[in-house]
Amino acid sequence: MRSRLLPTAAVVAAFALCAPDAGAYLKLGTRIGSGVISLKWNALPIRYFISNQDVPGVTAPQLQQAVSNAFATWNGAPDVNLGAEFAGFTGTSPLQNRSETVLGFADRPDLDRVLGSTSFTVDTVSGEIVEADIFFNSIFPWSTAAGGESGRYDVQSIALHEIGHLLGLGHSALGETELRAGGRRVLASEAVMFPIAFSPGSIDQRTLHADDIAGISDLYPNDTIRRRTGSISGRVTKNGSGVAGAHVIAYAPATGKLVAGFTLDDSGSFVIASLDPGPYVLRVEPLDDAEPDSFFDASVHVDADFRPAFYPQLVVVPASGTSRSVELKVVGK
Amino acid sequence: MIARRVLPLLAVFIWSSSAAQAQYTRAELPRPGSMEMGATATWTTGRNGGSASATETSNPTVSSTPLTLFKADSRVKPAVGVAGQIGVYVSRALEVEGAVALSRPVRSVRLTGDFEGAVDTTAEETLTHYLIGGSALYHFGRGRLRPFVLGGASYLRQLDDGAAAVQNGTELHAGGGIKYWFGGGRRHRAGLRLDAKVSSRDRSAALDSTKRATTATMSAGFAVLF
Repeated sequence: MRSRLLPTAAVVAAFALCAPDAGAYLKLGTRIGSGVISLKWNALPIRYFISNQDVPGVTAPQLQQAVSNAFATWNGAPDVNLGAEFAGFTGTSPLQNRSETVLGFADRPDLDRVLGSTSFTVDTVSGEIVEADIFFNSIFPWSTAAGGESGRYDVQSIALHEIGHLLGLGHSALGETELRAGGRRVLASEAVMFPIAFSPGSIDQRTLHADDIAGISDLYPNDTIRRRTGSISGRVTKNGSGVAGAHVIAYAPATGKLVAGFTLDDSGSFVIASLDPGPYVLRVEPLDDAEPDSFFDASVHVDADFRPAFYPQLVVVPASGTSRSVELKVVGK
Repeated sequence: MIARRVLPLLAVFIWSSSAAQAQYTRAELPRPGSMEMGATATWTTGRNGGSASATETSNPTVSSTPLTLFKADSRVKPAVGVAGQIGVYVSRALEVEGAVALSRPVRSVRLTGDFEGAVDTTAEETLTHYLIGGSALYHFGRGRLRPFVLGGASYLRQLDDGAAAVQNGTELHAGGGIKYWFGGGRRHRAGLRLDAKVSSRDRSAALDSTKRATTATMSAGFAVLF
């Protein structure tokens, strides 16, 4: 789900949980039995339809082209084994469909802060995504202009974010916001999957960042990525106890890449995977640039009462291995 | 009166030195085929490892420049190490030498200016550097004190903390030094060795390891000539 401002009460879907084996990034999960497994597509390429509803400024073929570009961007990420195929136009609304994957515009005036949203049908035995639908809220002004259009949201940018959800990715917290009357405004972000969109007219979010790429390659790895990349694992603790919902950022000074992950439970454990080998700076921060329910379901008791901190050692990621375990100690605000 | 006293003493010293020179020359070391082994302690200068910033793409309506999350300034600290050399003289002046060196420089990154106020921190790791290479040394003079110049290349193997990652690279060096040979028999001779060299290496332990880094290394130790 991508919001114009912070969504007040919305998650991607009712069953959107954080998968316990989340490496780099936050992946969507579904609870099966007593465990949670990652949502992902097993049948590739993903066949999708485009709803033939036009909106002012964007025709259905223009929407199809923007969506095709967005799928191509994800498919073109390095070390990723993905595929998508346009199956045709349909008169079915993405809000009503539950048999095929449909993307299109729909009127949702009740969601006056939501630009788009993704819903899934999941095999509750295997966790496989069977179909998914994305709607772009037609109450907002849209554009597919190559260079963007002032005052209008860029379809391709929002499609790129929602298709990230469709593929099984959750939200990234790599971004900074400020509180304003009526909600939060994003100051900057370094992930397409940050939950709050840039202002209308911007096309800066048509491009994947290192965090997005790490996430998608962790979910749909090709044959080489496990040999080429490594991971960082460890714990975030406060007064000796694990911290849930802490945002851990791995920064590679040599490349400038930022890839982040979360601690997912009260143990404070985290894993950041799909990292290029080399030395990393680790930084931990509380989840305070968006509402926790943009990232986790209610079962995660997010602790945001601590100060951001750096780990006082460089952490070296080996190829096809895991760094030594690190403990990031934080103190209360 | 003083000048008269000094003059004979100076003359004696010069005569003695000439005698030692003659004696050393007669010892016939080094000669083509002579071998030299040495062990030295090394000190390598620190160097700036480069600066970088962790940035995020700004919302264009807020700023046209990236938001800096924090800054990172890296440095490789001076390091001591050890080295061993074994050489063979091609002529009385020219020696070809193989060498192995080990040092453990510390790479440090100073983290400052955090956007959300994280306390400034220095993050460090200890590297292990192995240099395996060769040099050509050209010696001047024939006395106990023999200046020399050298140049060569090495294979560099860099292990990160805990040997978690390994990088291989190359090192080129040039410099000079002196050897002082003590007295000895016809079969061997002991001496001291001092040298300084400038080294250019990739896999430089800097933040941007694609660039070659230049350092200076001073060495001091013992040598034995066979």
